[in-house]
Amino acid sequence: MTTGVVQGGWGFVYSAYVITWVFMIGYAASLWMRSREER
Amino acid sequence: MTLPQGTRTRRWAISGSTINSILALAGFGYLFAMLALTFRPKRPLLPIQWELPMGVVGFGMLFVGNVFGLVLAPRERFMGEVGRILYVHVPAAWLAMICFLLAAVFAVVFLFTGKRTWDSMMESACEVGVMEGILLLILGAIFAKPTWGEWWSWDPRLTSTAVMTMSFVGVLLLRGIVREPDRRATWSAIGTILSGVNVPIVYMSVKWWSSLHQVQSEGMKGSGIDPEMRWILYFNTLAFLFVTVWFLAQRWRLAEARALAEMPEPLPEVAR
Repeated sequence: MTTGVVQGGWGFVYSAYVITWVFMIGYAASLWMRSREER
Repeated sequence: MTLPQGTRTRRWAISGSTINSILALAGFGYLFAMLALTFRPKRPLLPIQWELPMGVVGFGMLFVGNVFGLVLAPRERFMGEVGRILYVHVPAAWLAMICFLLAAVFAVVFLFTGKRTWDSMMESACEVGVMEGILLLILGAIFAKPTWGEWWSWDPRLTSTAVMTMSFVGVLLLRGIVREPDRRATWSAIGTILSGVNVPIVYMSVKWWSSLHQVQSEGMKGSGIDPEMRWILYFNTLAFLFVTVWFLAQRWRLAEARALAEMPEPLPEVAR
């Protein structure tokens, strides 16, 4: 029976949050490493 | 963005909007104070890394905000649990557009003043904006698959966002190719201004053309998001903002250091 509501989808939710953290921490690490090289 | 009928909402001692207001006042107050100190006329730049507390607080808030989004936030009426992606997708979109707009403003100021520091700020805003733009596109695809049934659609909002992000990638590539500093700064400033024209097009795309993507939830006529969801969205947006400020300032320092290294050696003093 269809309810008009998306069912489940936790995999997509977790993927989105993990990718967000990967990007944020990855970019922060990239900035830190480039700053060290510049010094 | 609404809640299913009958959703029970929690009652807190302090409302989420009050928390957001306090954090926003503290954060913006600190930011404006630091910017005023940094850009004082006739005084050197503030040497300490004033942006570090914003970065630390921002990452802390991002963690807490994501926990709110995963655990506290209610299910969206039609998107169910998938609606929780809203709390990372929308802040990434807003901050990407803010960075691109800032880059265009810095480019205009550079062309008028010719001062190197504005070129460094433009470079910083372009790069941080591209990072958040690519994150936005990926999060959008993850949001689209369960809700629209496909990872990508040549929808006006999605297409214009991709064009906007790729145009700024082009500006960064241009900066990498042109070696001569003055020419690099001028050409990339022009490229940034032209790319910045995309930002209002992206924002208005859902109104100007028929789009799968929903219309702006936060507009001049008020919010279309339920208050229980809205304060969590704003909390995550503030977190993204504080982290982005840290990224922008750090990247600016890097660009300034590189620009200084590129400057020719001063001429030796001649003994009289």
